[in-house]
Amino acid sequence: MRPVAITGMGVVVRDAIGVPAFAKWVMQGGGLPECPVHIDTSLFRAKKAYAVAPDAVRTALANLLRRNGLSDIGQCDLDCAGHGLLAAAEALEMARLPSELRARCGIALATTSGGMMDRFDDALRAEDAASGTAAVALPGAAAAILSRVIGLHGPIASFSCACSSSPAAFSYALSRLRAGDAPIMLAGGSDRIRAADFAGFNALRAMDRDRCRPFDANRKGMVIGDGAAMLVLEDEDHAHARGAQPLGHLVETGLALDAHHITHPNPQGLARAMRQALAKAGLQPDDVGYVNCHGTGTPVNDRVEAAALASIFTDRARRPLISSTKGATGHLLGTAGAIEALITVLALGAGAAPAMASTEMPEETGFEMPGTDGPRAFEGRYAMSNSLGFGGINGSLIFEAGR
Amino acid sequence: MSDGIVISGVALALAESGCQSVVKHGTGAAFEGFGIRRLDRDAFDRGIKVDRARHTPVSFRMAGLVADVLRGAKLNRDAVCGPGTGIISGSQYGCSIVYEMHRRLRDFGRRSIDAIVFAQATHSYPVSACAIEYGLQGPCAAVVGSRTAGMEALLCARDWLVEGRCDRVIVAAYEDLDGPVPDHIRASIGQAGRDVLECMALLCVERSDVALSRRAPVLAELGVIEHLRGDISETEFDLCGGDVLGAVGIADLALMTAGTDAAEAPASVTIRAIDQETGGLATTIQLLRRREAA
Repeated sequence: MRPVAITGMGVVVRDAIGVPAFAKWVMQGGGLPECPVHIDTSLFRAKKAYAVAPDAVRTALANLLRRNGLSDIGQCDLDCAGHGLLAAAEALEMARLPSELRARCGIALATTSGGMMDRFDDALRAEDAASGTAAVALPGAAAAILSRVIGLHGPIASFSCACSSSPAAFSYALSRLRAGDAPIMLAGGSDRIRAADFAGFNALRAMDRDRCRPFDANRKGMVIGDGAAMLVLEDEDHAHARGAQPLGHLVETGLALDAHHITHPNPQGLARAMRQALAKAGLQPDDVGYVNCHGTGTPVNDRVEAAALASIFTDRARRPLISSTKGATGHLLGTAGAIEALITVLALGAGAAPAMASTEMPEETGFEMPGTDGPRAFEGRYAMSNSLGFGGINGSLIFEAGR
Repeated sequence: MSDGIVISGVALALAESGCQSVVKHGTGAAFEGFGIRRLDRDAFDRGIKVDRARHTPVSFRMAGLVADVLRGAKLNRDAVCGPGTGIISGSQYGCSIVYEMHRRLRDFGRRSIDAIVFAQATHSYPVSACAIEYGLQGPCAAVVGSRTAGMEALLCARDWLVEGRCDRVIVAAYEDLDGPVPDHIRASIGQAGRDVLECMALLCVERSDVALSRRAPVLAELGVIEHLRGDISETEFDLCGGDVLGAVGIADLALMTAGTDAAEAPASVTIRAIDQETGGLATTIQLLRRREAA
């Protein structure tokens, strides 16, 4: 299989815009959720989230677009794709991609809300017709805006497969690169919190009122978040030829269904996804030093995920370090797999997994985990990032440290 | 031409004037130039009491068409149950129930969103529901947001087969024109345009060795799927008699391979889906109607 290098990364979360700030923040365990400033959550049972403040995005994006010589964008485009644009611009800047190469770059975007489906009705009001809301109401709007603003003219696709959207996007990008359809693909996710997410996850009783405690004996549920994470994936030879230094490599992906239940996961589906990724990569479970778990902090998810991991990593003496970073960033839903892919690459670069600051009473899973007070070192060149979504859609990504 | 990927079954539901329920919009002068035609929903509405927790209108229709496509491909439930079969959907608008959820929340407040409504309000719900019903455990995804979504889904299916992730993939391309979607279409299209047709087209796409090993009917061989970029001068095939949005290409493929006169069709046909904003996709298919596997 043709190697695929990661030559740039960009990220936006509530407490950090940009990879350097994010790496420092997430490695220490991230922050605590708060009530969002732009959505009234007072009527919901669980009110807190990790929601990016729109003003912070607006300011950072204006600076970044100016620095990159890109034209300013309208309010609707900014509301819809601001997070993704910020992350994409940073990733492309880090990859030192000249503008002529950007035209050959494609984009694979994961999303829950992608466009602004929650403003669909607003878009239909006559007085709103000129605002551009109609154009951004569709689920693929964010990818189209990124393509137009940054000038990406390679393959474009948007994936909306609940919380497992990101592995599908990465798998698509990997296939486009390996098929030679494009030399460079921007792959990642971009999402913004909607009131419906609060309503729905509260209705499911899946949210913790206070904080997310993945793999904690006292865990009570997830806390949602928003933001974006984008990775520049590049054909290894192409990257080498232009002198780009890989930050890491995307080695393989695995995709598999539970075929079990819409909201209740089954360990066999995730196990199949992991097995597929390992087999296609030609790796043994022992080769994996770290697994960034989906780890939502719901009682069922973490139990099922631990069972799936145990069925793959059967040699207890050589099991990888595992962690969930949702206690740091919140659950970014469709974008979760993208931000966790980025964290996995950062972890491989540092040789250490982020602290799990909110997991004060770790449940016995049969796997070692980082503590609350700082990152924990692991050995190995390979790491895995797993995602599970509504409907039993599973994805597993395998990354290798930069060579 | 093909990497050994074939179409072994097709199923199609396409709104048409005369035999389907037709909703003609046009009371306002701005929308007189075209109609929006919907598929019949009576079957779902009749079964809603037993199916509400299990199916949405889209997943209900898709589950029925999965049965049809499998029958056509000479497959039964036992044969597709397991990791050898994946499923993927492509749609420009996705599921209208997603938009409806936001409308309910705005109009009726947080208590209008219950656990079932929320779990169903994802664009991947139909493929997940079908996977559960038929025991499909292969790869799964939902592509959304452009006219090329259906063809992108076919491209993903092709990738999965070529990469050896599974033996066959059910590819579903659809548009669900319920809820506020027709209003958005009218606002987007403006005063003139072709009729927009609700549609769902399914293909059973397989590795040829898998299809041949069970003596399945091979309807067509699938060629390489290429992205069209830049100034796209090609046109879509347009067999549907109207605009099927994100199902374009897949619906054409279904019509062409299922057509009774397909034996007389050209041996090699190029199918395209073109989105003016994001580009296009094209694939060449070789029609093999009535050529049973040796």
